[in-house]
Amino acid sequence: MILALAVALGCIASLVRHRSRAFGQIAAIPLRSAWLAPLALVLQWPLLRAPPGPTQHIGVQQALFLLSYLLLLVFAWRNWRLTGILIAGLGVICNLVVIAVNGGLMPITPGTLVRINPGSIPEQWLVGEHYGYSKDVILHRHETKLWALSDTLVIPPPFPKPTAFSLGDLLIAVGVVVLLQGPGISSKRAATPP
Amino acid sequence: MKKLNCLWTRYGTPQNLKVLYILLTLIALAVAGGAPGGGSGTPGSG
Repeated sequence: MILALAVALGCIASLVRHRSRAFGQIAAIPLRSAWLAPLALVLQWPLLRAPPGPTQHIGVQQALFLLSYLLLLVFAWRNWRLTGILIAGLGVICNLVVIAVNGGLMPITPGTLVRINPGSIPEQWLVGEHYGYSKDVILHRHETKLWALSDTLVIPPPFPKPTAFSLGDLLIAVGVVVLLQGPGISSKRAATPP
Repeated sequence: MKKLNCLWTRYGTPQNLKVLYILLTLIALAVAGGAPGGGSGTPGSG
């Protein structure tokens, strides 16, 4: 949800900046192979619908999840000359690296889960299990490789839905906002032949 | 139905459809590329 909000924020910024030309600016963004992004989301859907439980029970979902990141990398590679996609692509790589070195899911600590689930206690969260309906696995901080890239940042209440997110997520959000400012900002590099 | 056709004629321009396509792509990129953990994902949500 937080990343979808970045799209809304990007649209608002574009409307403020370009006013009546905002739609024209967005329509002029020369995205290539755009279908890869929705396809990646479709591949992730089974994992996002999986309830909490041992990670051994979601092997197929995890494989599809990792495959979806390959599609996103191809999408970023095809569009890397757009500054927004370059930033978002770095975010995707950050997330993929931390996911890959921690067994195929994004790590989140019990402490962070307590922060986004007020009223719970750390002992409630079973370490090593999939955090249901998400891309996360519950791991202690000392067990987490590249902890700084995992879901460590938190938007606390009164945000309607407290959410933990990673540095990679933040880069993706920034990239989307930059991209929605139109080719004036986002494709200067695209105008220059390689 | 006539009203719907009228709206489509007015707003369903190629440029607006392209904007919609790009926005849907970016939402998909943001949701698929990011890995935010939302609250109340497990029984321990309090």
